[in-house]
Amino acid sequence: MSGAAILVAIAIAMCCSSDGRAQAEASPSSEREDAIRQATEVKDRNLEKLFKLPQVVGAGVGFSSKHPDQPVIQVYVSRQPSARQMRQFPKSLEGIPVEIVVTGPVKALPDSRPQETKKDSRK
Amino acid sequence: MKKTRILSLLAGLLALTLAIPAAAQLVDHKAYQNRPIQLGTSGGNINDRSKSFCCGGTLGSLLKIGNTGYILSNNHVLARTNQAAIGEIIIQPGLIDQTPVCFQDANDAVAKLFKYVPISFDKKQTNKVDAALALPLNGAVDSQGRILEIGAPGNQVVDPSPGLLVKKSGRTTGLTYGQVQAVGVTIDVQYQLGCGTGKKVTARFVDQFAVSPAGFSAGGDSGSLIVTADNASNPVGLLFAGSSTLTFANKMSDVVAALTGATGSGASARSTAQLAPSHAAEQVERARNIKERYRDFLEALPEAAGHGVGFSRSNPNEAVIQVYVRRNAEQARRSALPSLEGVPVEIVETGEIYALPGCTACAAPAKKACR
Repeated sequence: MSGAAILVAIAIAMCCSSDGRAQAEASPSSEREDAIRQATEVKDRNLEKLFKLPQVVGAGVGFSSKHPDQPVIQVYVSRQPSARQMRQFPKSLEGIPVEIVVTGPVKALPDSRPQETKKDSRK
Repeated sequence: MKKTRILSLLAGLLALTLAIPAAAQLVDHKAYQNRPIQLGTSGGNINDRSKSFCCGGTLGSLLKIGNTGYILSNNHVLARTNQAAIGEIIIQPGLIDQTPVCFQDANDAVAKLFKYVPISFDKKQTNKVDAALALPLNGAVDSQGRILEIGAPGNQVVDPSPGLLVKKSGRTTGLTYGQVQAVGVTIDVQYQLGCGTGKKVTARFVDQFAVSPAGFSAGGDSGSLIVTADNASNPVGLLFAGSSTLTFANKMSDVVAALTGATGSGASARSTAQLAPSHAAEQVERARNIKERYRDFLEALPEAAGHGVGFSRSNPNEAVIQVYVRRNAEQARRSALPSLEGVPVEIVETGEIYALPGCTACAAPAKKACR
């Protein structure tokens, strides 16, 4: 009983350790994890630069939609940048491809309704 | 190599197929539930309203700290984005799903705000979590922390990795499946300080993860627990934001660290609480026995509406006797003893002060509401 509790505590302690990257699942190989870690470092080094680009609301790291083994830096934009703006975006950072993802505005997700029982205000 | 490619493709397809909501929602995540409630259900702070709007989200899961289960949701759902006082009432369903809509029904109380991690809107600062805990009222929440359409989640926290298949159970879109699209995400998130009105402010979050497809969540799903899509349903993250195409979530490991870490009162004892659950159970048993012996005394206190046994607000490892008074807690506090046979007595003010009239007199709704 308390053995199980200790295990949980250890599991939590592991995942919350300073680098926060305790391995999670069997499926992604450690190779993939390394690739993601490396891409994250590159992303973090260039973050300030990315946030100065038009419409940028965020950036993250994933795998390419076309080449599932290729790590990419995803740059999130609140709307499609114009062709001229697009030219300001890097194609890659330190050898890692950059993918622009049009997310739309990013908001906290409560729901709200008007006080009067007219109709649901949700989309 | 080829095999993994096919696998991830299959996984992607699976995620897409599963994201389509099941034909008819058999389980109503917005409806009032008989107590004890399951999680993944509509809820929120009873004061989360403005002149024209009321707001709500999802009571997502039960987080066990020591032997106490706390409702885990977002700061912006339970604590009105830094604006609530500790102890404010959490209701199920939330204001947006009350009849009439926005009705502040204190009878629907299931918990009280216990703790929240403040969100910083300072441009120079970053956040990791939008999280808060509420302490359930006695018997109000399923003690196993079962989530509608998921059941009890596992207790192994899993860090998100790109491609990981996940699911969640939330107030608006119910049970949905998705796939982790990105990790290590830095994202600027828009909040509105009043409910559906007021100033829009932006907070930067770091080390988040993104989930697709678009239908994974919608407004009102805030606070849902994201778990692995397999039957283990292990916790991965806390859903809190989104756009028209992606859902963003805090990592569960960060949420647990922030809520059990060394911030706020009485937190230091918390991380060790994991190691001594049986001790806590004994304490509760003892407190219950003492409470029964002093029953008549407790019920004679001014405005007493009930009593129970819970954990201390300042020290979650300490069992306390709670006396619920309708109003004027100060008066009851003066009449009560601070402790009975060594067990502290806490006076908890409930009901009636919150029983406000309906919202019929409120201003006309604006055309556009927040998500």
